[in-house]
Amino acid sequence: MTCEKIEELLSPYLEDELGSQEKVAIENHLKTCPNCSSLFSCMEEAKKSLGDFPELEVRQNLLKKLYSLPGKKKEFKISLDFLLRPSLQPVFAVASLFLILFSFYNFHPDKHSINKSIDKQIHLGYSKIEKLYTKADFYKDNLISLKENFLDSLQQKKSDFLSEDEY
Amino acid sequence: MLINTYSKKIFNMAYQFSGIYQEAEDLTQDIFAKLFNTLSKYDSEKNFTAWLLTLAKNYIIDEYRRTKWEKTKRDDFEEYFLASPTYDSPENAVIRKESKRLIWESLNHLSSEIRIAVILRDIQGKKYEEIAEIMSLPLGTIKSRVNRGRLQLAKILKEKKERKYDM
Repeated sequence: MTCEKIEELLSPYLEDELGSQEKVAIENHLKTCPNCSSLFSCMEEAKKSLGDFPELEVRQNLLKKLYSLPGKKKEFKISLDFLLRPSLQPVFAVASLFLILFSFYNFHPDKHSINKSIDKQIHLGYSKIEKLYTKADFYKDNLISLKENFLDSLQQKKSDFLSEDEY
Repeated sequence: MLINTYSKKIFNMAYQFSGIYQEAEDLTQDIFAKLFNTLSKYDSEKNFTAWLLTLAKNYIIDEYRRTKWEKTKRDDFEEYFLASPTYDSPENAVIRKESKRLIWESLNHLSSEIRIAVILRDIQGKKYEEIAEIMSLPLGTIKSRVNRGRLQLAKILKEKKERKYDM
């Protein structure tokens, strides 16, 4: 086996994951090749060193920060969600417009004149609607009389035509 | 409950990967913030620890790629690893400490995917099956990454030792 092939197998050999044939081949190679042998001891040393790194304790300061995380996040998210929900934007727009109009009406110094003009406008609108109804009735009567005249003239024409035929 | 059980695991994973204590604390906070926001997506039929470690691993690697930690230096080895196991002789203690320091510094030479595989296997002592679940990769790929990582570390260690003896 070449040194390159041995290098690839050193880690599985270290973990005893190789078959007996490969194991013997590596052992024989390591006995005769100082370079691979040195590399293998370094790998063993590296693995041992990594395994010796202790697990560090978390500082109290960090734990405090972690405990303050959930509440802070949740509160922030709810308020933002509520304010930024797109479906609520038309509602906010209408509500703002209504509030502007309401405050204009409520805090205007000449509130009575506004009331009067609103009353006047309402009455004007009401009388306009009444006039429209009257006009509509008039047109309806006209249409009915037109229809009757038209039917009479048709009847007349029909009788004239029949009398001419008899002659 | 979640914080008590998992903060140490997450913090140590972040620290072993980044090698910077403050960075690891920031990452731990970010990972828990992400966990609280995505907890609703957790499928209760799956292993929670593996799911959380996958989330942590993905976040750590994404941040690493974004911030290019490879250009920054890891914390000094002695600072956080003084509570190491005792050795049979002072001479051995010095040699092992030096190896551990070299390995600690060399971890930054490994690519992010290989580094996390080595950390999970050789520092945290997880089984290959667990690592495959956390990394969502086939068992063979994980073994290959761990093998490559160990070989790289062994080569770095060997080179540094040889250079030291040459001097």
